[in-house]
Amino acid sequence: MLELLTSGFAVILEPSAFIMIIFATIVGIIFGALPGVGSAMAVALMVPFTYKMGPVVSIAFLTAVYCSAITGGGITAILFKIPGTPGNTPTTFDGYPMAQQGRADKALGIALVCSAIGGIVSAFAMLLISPQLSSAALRFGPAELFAVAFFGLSVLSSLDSNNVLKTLISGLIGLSLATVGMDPIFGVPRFTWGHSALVGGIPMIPVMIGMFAVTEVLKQTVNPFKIEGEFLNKKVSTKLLTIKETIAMKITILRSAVMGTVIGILPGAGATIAGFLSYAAEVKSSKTPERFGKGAPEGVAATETANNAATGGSMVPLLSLGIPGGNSSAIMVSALMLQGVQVGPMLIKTQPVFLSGVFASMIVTNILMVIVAIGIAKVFSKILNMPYSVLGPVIILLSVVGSFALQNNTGDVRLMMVAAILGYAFIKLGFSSAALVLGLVLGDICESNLRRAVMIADGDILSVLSRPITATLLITCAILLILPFARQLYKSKKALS
Amino acid sequence: MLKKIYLLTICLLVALSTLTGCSSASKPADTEKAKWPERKVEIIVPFGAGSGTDTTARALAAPLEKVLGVPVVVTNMEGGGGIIGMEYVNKQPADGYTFMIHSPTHLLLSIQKLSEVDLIKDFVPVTRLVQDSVLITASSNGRFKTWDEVVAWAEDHPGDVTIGAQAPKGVDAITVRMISAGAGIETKFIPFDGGAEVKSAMLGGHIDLSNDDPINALALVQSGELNALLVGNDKRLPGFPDTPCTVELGIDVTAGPWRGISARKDTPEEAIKGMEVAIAEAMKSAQWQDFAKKAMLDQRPGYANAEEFSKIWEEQYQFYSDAFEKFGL
Repeated sequence: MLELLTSGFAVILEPSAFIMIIFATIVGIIFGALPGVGSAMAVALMVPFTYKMGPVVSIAFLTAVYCSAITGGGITAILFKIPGTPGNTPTTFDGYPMAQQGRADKALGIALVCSAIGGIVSAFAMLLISPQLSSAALRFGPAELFAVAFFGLSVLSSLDSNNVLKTLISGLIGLSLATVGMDPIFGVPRFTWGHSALVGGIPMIPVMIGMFAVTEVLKQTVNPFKIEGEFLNKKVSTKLLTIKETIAMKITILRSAVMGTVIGILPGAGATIAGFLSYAAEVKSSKTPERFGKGAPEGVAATETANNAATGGSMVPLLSLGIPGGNSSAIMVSALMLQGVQVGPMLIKTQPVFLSGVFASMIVTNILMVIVAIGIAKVFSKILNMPYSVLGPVIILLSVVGSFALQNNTGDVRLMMVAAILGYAFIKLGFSSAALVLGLVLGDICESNLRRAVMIADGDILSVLSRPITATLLITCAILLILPFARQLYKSKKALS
Repeated sequence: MLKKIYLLTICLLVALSTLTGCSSASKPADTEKAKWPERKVEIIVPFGAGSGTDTTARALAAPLEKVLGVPVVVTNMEGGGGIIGMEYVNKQPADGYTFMIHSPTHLLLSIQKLSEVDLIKDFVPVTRLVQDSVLITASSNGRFKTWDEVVAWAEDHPGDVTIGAQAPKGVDAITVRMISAGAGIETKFIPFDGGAEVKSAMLGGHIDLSNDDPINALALVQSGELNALLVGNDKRLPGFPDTPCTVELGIDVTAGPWRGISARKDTPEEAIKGMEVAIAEAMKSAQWQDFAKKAMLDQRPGYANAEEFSKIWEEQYQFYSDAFEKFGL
């Protein structure tokens, strides 16, 4: 084991490789922070740099880009309510309110430290129990994946405690929007009204950018007095979490790290779902769920720990079976293929340095990331000192570029603008944009996996729902839904007696 | 001071944007007389980064650049199962500077009439680069070790064997159905969102069989996690010498995903011909040969010039149309 580890670190700490890892971390964070440029695009853009590297350094380098991109996305989520990658969406729920309350430094500190912890925990899981984890993950077939996604939908009930009905309706709108596009089972276009642009469905990122970032600008433009004093002239110092504060959130961080790692391993899930589910679990298990959405530090901690833990998780099926867990790792497979390396079970057995190299890279990156990100966050937060009449247009500009960059498609920019107006209407009418985005994200996974599972079971839906893992997840979900009401009932009874 | 720098930057930006505006406006007039190619050539990939078409396009771009003497830029334009990229290319001027790399997927789009842009009507073939195969695999922990076992079981239990592939009406899905029909068995086809998901579901025992590109199955077959049962070809593949091929079992299905370059219909003949010749030259380079070997795209002859590629379009359009009709898709 020790020999394995030293071989991994030896590869990474070799000067030329180490410089590339630092470069990967910086570039990853910047790309991650830009809306629309997700981790997969960041990794794809960096592939040409690997042509001259050895295969071990290549995958270590791309892993570094991947990990740091997810972290970078948290910075803009907190400062400007722009989730840099879809996995940072729940960070905006509490991180942005914290920034508005003048606690941007605290929020950033939490995001960075928790990201690093999540990444490091998942790296250890990958190194030590990869084979066990990947065989456990294989037990998640369509029926089980449906239950995981459904579990994620239970977040709906905790997004806005004041307006449960309107939040649920928003979630249903999101789920309905997710049905637009190609039917996953029959392969016929649905609700496309003959527009070929809709055949691929409604892409999530432009909707997300529109409903969060641009809507916020519209809101600030209409009610400018809200931002005076509070938002402006706040120096962001990105104080790191003290050890005391970290220990205070140990349960949150630990749970999110485990959840994030596990979800990252599951086929078809990734940092996005990890972020949402972990946020949900945090709200559900909190004694004071009403604080969430208004600047609860635990919300930021849960999301950022989990979405970074998912990076290590997604490396597990990649390295142990050669099956990429998401788009970013799929690009790594093709980058290695170009170097004549076939990722698969034999690779780790015959050349364990691939495993230890990736592990070393994740550890180094997650530590470097905090240092680099503080610097970048300081630069970004200088932007906060600009008058809003300048900052607002800058955010809109970034949003337009980000929506376009996603698929080089102007249709996505139009979609982003429609989403922004819808988002504004949602605020005015008390509906929840977060719920809509959640429905849109999880709708596809829920639907296609449920239908697939029922198809495999010859239409016997009961046998699908009674599979052990599925049933356990669904029952947990039901308990979590009932618990807050039961607690309330118990409290009021106690008060009466 | 700061204000001055600010102003200066804006002035510079404005000047730059007008300059680029002018240059792009003046170019088309020149190209009519000048020899092709006089500036960069763009290849649009209508699928995502890391996809088969994407790696193929990028592998071709490097040697092609050397042959053409101008930059060859590969751009991904993902979305709508290949529609967005195709429609984009169709909107570009037909001047021989924008090409598209595509797969039989775009023939299927045309059969299903999913877009107003139709590959057959609006595009002309330039060169087919590679021909990949459909490989049917099973988990080594699963019920079936060989294709014969599958057939024997399925004959007694029609509809019991589950087989997964990517996309409900994609090339893989149709080929898998055609192979089942050719073997005279009834299998249950389960569509998935992506290749990795199919493979995970099969390794986890949720489905029996899956189909894969040879390159993507290789590592797991070598390590013994997967068994390669059948390959859709008239010969066994050199990389999988022990795996029977469809034709030797009397199943007449050899279709598989190919990748080729096409251009808009009214592209000048000179550019089409020039690109065809240049690609043929680029494919002789060591760089390309090395890629083809590493990606297992050298297992079947894939190259087809414009004329042959055009015939392939016609034949396969017919083949897939018949399949759609046969399975009521």
